[in-house]
Amino acid sequence: MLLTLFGFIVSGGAGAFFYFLPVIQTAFSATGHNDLPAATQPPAGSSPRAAPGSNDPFTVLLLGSDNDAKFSSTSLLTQSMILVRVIPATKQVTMLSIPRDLYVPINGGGTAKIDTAFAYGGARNAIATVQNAFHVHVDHYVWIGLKGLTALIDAVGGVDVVTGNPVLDDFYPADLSGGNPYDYQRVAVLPAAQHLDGIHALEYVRSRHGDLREDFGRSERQQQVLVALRAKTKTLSATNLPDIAAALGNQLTTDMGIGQVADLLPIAGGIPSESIKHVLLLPPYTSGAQVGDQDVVMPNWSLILPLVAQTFPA
Amino acid sequence: MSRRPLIVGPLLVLMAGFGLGVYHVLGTFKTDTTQPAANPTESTPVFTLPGVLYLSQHGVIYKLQGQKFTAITDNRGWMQPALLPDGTILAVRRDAEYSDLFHLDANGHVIQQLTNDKGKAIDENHWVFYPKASPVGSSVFYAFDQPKFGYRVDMAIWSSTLDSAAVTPRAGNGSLAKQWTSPDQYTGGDIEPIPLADGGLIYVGYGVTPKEHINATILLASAPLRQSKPLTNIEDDCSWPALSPDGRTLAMVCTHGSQVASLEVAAFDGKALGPPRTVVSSDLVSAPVWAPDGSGLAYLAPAATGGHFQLWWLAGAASAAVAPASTPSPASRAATPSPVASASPSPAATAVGGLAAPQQVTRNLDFDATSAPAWTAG
Repeated sequence: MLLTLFGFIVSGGAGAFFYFLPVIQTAFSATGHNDLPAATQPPAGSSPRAAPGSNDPFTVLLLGSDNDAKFSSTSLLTQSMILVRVIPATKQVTMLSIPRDLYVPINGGGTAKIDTAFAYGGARNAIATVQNAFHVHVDHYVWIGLKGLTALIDAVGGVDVVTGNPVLDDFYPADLSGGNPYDYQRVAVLPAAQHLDGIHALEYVRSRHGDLREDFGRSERQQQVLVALRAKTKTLSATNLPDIAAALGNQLTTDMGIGQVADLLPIAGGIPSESIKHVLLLPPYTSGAQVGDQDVVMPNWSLILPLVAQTFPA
Repeated sequence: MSRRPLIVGPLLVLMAGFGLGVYHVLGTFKTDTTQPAANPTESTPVFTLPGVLYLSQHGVIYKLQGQKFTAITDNRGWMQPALLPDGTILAVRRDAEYSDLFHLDANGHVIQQLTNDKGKAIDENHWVFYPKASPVGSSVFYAFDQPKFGYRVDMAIWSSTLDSAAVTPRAGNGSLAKQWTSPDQYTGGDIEPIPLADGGLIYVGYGVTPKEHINATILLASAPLRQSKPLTNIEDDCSWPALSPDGRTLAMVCTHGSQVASLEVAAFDGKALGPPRTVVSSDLVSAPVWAPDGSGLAYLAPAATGGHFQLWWLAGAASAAVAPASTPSPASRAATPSPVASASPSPAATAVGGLAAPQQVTRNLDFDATSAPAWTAG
């Protein structure tokens, strides 16, 4: 009798194990990457870095890359860089979008657009560059690829977003369909409060050619979709996790361990949308310029650094 | 002979079945909002609306009459149905990189293709959206992506007589199409025309706010390419204008620069709006349409956070509108009453202004919230 009962328990446990297996696999492959630069690692004997779940404020650098066939997997640019400061005690979040064309000293040498920092040395180099340029301390990072973002949004069943003005672009990259990655396609995301699947959410956050504010408009849209994604994750249950994990595959990496990610989710879910502050480095914080044959965004550090220091500690 | 194999064998099968059952049962506990939407023809509305509504889901236009949905088109990208006075339908068929206007009969059969926007090169394609017939049905108004050159793709409002040769608004000599508006550059342009009985036009134009956001303004034009008069403030970011059948109340959706889209109404005297009043203080309202008798508004909104958009009904919305003052343009905001508790758990169902709570009409569907329903008495 006991043996029979044991058999059913083992069988049920095996069913549950295989159901959650994608979560376990992704937890091992995506989390715990030790990519933080030495300056971010705590010195011996000092208190550890701020960790999600500890109720201490912490700063996360979100990185998003075009990882399509145009780019080698070892030299990806970051199309999106968002510094996020989370203060669990007061349930406040600040999201600061860093223009991808911001012309800054790159860690390791030279001055270039900040999106190249990742290409020259991965997350470690991107974090070091941001820390040095903005005089901030980054506790953690999360990197996601294009396909990862679309798959993640589809895995959660889509997101609800108030898309602003019509996003019309005749030169949107047609690089996810498997053809020539240098081809273009037309997109039109019409304005409305609406439900977006992964592909259409990506069109909304990635298009920039038809926008008066170019990369700044795109940054604003990226923040909108991130907030919508956060709202959607609040509605999910643990049984949704295998779909999400399977969707992400190798499209997401973070230095946080699985325990820290688990601790972070209720914090993210508990922060009301109205407590999320959005910061864009529009003029006069930045200005357009030409360096060689490149269009770049020049930082006005005398304005940026005091602004950043208000929220992001060094 | 031992009976043990006869018992152990079935037990092992049962155990394996139990394990598989646990695997599958866990999958049934996924959140509803991650599940695919139902097909409207396999769905029954929970609340019956009078008349006939046309709505778009996944590229199909459906007719809702009583308790029954009927697909009236194939699934080739149909959206934005609009009614002509004779009960026939204008609609958009959207392809991957262009869209065209069609004139359909009430059962969805094509009477005439009105535009041919497919180009030979990628930037020779065009978008046409938001068709609306003039009150007498002799002409059609729409948003068309001309002017367009280089990276600039902005829509302007155009009009034509209801004839395919005239509607295709190729710019230049010989075009019978008439351009009504000049959009602000690189904003996405002007959309959502409502032709008026006096020959004027209400539409939505996008422009840049002092804080460098791109917001919507509802505007009034008296004639083609004349200076338009703003009916709302740009900071209020109001769009989706819907004029009541008697022409005296304008419904609209305003975000006030946030990720909240509320349903508001204002009296309209043909020249200006009265103070806007919020009638659904919701998180995400889209695409309002008046009942044919003006007794209320239908609109689209999700029933749960992050969910698909469903059809909702709000009775008596026009009664909340306040007449315009002598010179209120653009409308200043009225004191908005505090929201009252909702009878529904839905985030989309909080009515204010003393109105009854909105009622959810459909469940588990996935209406295209960029495509306003069309509603006729039938």
